[in-house]
Amino acid sequence: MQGIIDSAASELLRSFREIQDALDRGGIDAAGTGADHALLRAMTALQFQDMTGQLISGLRARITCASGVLDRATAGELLQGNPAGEIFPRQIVLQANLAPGSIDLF
Amino acid sequence: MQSILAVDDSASIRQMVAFTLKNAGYNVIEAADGKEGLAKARENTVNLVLTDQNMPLMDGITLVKTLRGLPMYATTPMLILTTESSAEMKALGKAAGATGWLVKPFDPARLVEVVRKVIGQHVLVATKPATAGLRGLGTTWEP
Repeated sequence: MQGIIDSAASELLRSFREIQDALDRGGIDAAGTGADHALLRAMTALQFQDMTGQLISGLRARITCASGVLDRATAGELLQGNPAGEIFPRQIVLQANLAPGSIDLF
Repeated sequence: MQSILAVDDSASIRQMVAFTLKNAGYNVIEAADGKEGLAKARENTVNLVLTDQNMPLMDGITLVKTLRGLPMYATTPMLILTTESSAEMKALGKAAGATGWLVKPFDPARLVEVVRKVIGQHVLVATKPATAGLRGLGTTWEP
């Protein structure tokens, strides 16, 4: 989770720095395509930041679930299925490893 | 100016979609969930609906299905923009009447291309007594 946040933050900072440099060189008109591309990358990074927020919410739900499983196990309840799977941490995915999502037109 | 209804419970995603589409020359109407989206679609006439899937009160597939039941939105392009990428969910979206399925994160330039493509096809279909509708395009978008 921290990796995703760090990756998105780095990309955001880099994009905004590029835009600022372009603006410093000659104003908004001269910034042109370079600034546009930097802005688009920043927007993609912002989406990852947003998705990270959703992942954190999901993680909180998993922790609550794990806590419930432990409570039941402690109380001596016979657990069904694979309760460990509810607690096992998921693999961290970094922004750099992901491309923008697929597009299917029906 | 053509209008697009952007429905997403994430304010930041909604704002990014609106920013991208406004820069591309569209009027963007925003809604925070399916129920609000349905109300705004009834209040306004929009040329395209772009909706998230997982939202409180009403999800994207239900929104698409409900709008398809209204005569004014029978052929309007409707895209689902979501983190969901399973074939089962896509099939549900298609069955509900969605025109396309976009997986987040979206690339702003590609989003604009897809929006232009489906709105353009809708105009073509609407102005000609076409034999083929919007659905059934059967394409995977690879610009």
